Amino acid sequence: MAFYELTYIIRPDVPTTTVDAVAAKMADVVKKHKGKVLKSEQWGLRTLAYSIKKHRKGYYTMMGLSLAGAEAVNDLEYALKVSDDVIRFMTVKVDEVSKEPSAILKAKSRMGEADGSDAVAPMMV
Amino acid sequence: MAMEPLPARKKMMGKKGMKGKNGKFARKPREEGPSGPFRGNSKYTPKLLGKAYFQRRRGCPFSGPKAPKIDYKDVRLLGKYLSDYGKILPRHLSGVCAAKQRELAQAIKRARMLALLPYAVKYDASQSTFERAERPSRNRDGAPREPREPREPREPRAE
Repeated sequence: MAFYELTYIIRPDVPTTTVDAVAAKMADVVKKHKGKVLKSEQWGLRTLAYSIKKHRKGYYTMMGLSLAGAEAVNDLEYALKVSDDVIRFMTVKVDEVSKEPSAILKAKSRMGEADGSDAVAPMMV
Repeated sequence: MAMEPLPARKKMMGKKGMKGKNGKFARKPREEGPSGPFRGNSKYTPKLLGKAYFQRRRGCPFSGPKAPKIDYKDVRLLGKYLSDYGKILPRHLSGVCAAKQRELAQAIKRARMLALLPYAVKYDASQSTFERAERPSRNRDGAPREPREPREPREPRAE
């Protein structure tokens, strides 16, 4: 078993439920390959550093996974590639999946606007 | 036509003579006077510069017990090692050791892939500021001139 971090960006002009739907879909694929979802983080709607497919913002999701091999990763990436809602994804092999929230979430919670920014940001679009 | 080469020769001769004379007279004092301390300067200046340089230098910010882990998700940390144009800072400016620089570059490239960091930042000549396409709204509340430190408050977008 190896550990992976899967991060993907969902286009912003999609109902908020899609974020959960895609996450559930990913979890299904992981389950199919007898892997485990060790961690799932929603970073919310973030401004992209540059536009991707003419989108300036996107919903970020990061998952810490433990998978058996390349096949599972291929399946995950294929699902993301086929999905129209996902505009960018990246899988990285890591030595371990830390249980702590990642730096981005920490920075968010520091300002105490983890939920607020999600609510405010769509209005700015 | 015949007259022209003659003054030219005279001038040449004169120049040569002047050069020789000036050189002889001028070189001696130069060697004795200013060249003495100049030699000393040329010897000692780099050492003095070197001291100042090395005294200012701290160790690699990523080695040591309290060093932060290099992670592509830590945008604030990685942003410190980008130039205003969004390029990765060279080691001689950041002081990062070779092994960690490789790690850092990899992390920055990953962050760029995920649009967490920009590949390039446009320079707005009319306002002499760097456009952060990454966070236009944040530029308004924070100072756009310093992309490193103010990032922390900018992240959650205070507005």
